[in-house]
Amino acid sequence: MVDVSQKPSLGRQIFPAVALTVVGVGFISQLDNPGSDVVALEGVIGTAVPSTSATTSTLAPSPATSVVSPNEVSTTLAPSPMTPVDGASTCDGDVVTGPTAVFKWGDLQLQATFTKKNVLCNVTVVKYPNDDDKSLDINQSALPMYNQEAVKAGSAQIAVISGATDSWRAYTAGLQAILDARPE
Amino acid sequence: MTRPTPTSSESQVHPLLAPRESWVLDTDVGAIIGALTLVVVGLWSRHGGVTALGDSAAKTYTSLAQLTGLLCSEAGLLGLILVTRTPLVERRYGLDRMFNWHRLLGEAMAIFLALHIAFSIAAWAIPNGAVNAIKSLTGKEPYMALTTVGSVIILIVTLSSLKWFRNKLSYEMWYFVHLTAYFGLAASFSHQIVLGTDFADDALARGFWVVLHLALVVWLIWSRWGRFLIAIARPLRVSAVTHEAEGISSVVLSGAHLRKAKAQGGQFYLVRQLVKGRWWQANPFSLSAQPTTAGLRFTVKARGESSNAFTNIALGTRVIVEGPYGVCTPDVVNSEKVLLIGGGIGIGPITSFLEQLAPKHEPIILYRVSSEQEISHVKELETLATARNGKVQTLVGHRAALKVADPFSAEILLKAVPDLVQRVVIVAGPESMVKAVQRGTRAAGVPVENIHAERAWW
Repeated sequence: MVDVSQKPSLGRQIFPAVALTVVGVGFISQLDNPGSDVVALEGVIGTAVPSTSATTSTLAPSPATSVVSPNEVSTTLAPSPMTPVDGASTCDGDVVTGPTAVFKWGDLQLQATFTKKNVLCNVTVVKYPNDDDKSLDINQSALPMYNQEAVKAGSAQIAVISGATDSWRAYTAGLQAILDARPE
Repeated sequence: MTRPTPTSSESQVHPLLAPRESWVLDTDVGAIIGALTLVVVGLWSRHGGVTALGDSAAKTYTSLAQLTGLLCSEAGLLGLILVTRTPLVERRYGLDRMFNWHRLLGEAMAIFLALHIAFSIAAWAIPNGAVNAIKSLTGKEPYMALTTVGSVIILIVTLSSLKWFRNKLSYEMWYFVHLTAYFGLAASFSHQIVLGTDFADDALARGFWVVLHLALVVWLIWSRWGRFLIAIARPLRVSAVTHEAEGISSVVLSGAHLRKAKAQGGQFYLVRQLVKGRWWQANPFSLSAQPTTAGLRFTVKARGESSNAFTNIALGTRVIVEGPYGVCTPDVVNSEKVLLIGGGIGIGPITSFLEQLAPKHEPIILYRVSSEQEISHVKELETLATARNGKVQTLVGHRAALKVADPFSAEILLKAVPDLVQRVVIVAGPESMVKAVQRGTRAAGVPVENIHAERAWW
C-alpha cells in the first residue's frame, strides 16, 4: 500500500510553477509588440535655466558637456550649428532638459535651447538607445537630422526619416513635451 | 454468494493490481492553469491590450473583446482536458470532481463568451452602428457565420446543463446535445486565427495557439475516444447474475483481457450493455468485490429504466466497461483502524473495500438500509469482517421509524464505535447519508483528511 501521508518535497512542489512561469514569460517576451509603438514619457522637464553669461559656457552645446557616458560620445550627434535662427538673437536663452521618452528600443532624452525671445534654436541629444549596432547606426545618422529639422521648423513638426520611425516617434514626443511646457 | 469462477482453467485467479498512482500534485495543476493564464493575459497585454483600455471607446471595447475571447478559449481548453479523463488527473482527484470542475469551467466559458460577444458588437457598433455590427459579425466577416453557429451551440450546451434544464431533459437528449459542443468549439476556432488580432498579426502566437489546440485534439482522441474504442473492441461478457435482495442483483463480468487490467476495491466503472438501443447508456457501477482476473462484480439496484436492464441481464451479454475510476480505494488507509459506513446499495463499494483490508485494520462496518428486503451481502460482509478482526452492525428501518433523529450524530457514532477518532472513515451511500456521516464524524473529532466519501455510483 502506498503511504499517502508522504509529503512531496518543497522543490518538487515549486519547480513546475517556476519552470512554467519562466517558459511563459520567455514566450511572451518573444511575441510581436505593436503596443510598444507607444512612447512613454518619464521624468520631469528640467527647470529652465535662466541664461546668464556664467552658464553659457557650460551650456555650450559642445559634444562633451551633453554626453552622459562615453558610449554616447559621438561626433555625428554634434549639435546643429549655433548660428542665430532669427538673425536678431543669439542662442543664449533657456536650456531645457526634456523628459526621457521610453520607446521600443530604449530611452531618448533631448535638451533644447531657446533664444531670449523663446524661439527654439538648438537641440542636442542627451540619451539615445545605443546598446546594439543597429540602434547606433540608425540613431547616429537620423538624430542629427532630426535636430536640424526641428531647429529649422522651430517645432516638433518634422518629417520622418524612413528606417528611423520609432526614433522619430520618441523624438517628436520628447520635443513636443519640452515645447508644451514653455511659457507663451 | 460464491466467488466468480475462473473462465479458463489454465489461468490462476489472482486479484488485479492497483492502478498506478498519479504523480500530479495540486501545485502542478495550479502551475499549469497559472502558466496558461499568464500566457493568455500576457499575449493580450503584449499586443497592446492594456494600453488600449484607456484609449478611445472603440479601442477599449476591442481590447476587452480580445481578453474575454481568450479567457473563453482558455476555459474551454481546460474543460476539454477534464473530458480526456486522463488517469493522471483522475487518479488524484476522482471522476466526480473532474465532472464538477468541467461543469464550472463550462459555465465560466459561457459567461466569457457572452461578454466577448457583447464587447465585440459594442466595438464594431461605434463606427458602423449596431445593426451593421451584428451583420458583420454574424456573416459578412470571414468565418463569422461558422463562428456564430458555434457560439449558439456552446450557449445551448451550457444552458442544457444548468440544473433547471437538465432535469427536464432525458439523459440521451442531454448527452447528444452535449456532444455537439465539440463541433461548436471547432467551428469557432477559425475566427480566432483569422480575425483575432492576437493571432492574425503574430506568427509566433498563432503557432502556439494552433499547436496547443492540435495537441489537445490528439490527446482527446486518444485518451477519451481511443480508450472507448478499445473497450468496445474488447467487451466483457456477463458470466454470472445473482439475485441478492428485492430489486438487487450481482452481475459478474469476465473476459480474457482482465488479466492485464488494473483496479481496486472501492472503484467504479462506467458500464454499457452492447445491446441495441442501450449501448449509449453509461451506468456508473461500483465494484462490490475485489476485482480479480476471473471477473468484476457489480451489485446493481433496479432504480431506473437503465439499471433495471442490468438487474436481469442475460448471461453472455456483451458489456463494455470504461474505468476504473474513483479515488476512495484502500490506498487511503495506512495502518490505522477503519470504520466503513455503507448506505443502501452503497454497501457494494464498502464490500470490495473491506475485502482488501487486513486484520490490523480491525474494520467495523455500519450498514444502513431502509428495509429488511434490501439487505444484501450481509453474510459475505460478516465472513470478511470476522477474518479481519472486525464486525458488522446493521441499522434497518426508514428514517421516520428510527428512534433517533440522526443515526450518524457524533454521540451515537461514538457509542457504537468508541475508538472512532483513531479510525479512518470510509462512507458510501446516498448523498444525504454521506453528508450526515461527514457532519457526525467531524463533530466527533475525526480529522477531515481521515474521512473519505465515495458518491453513490451504481
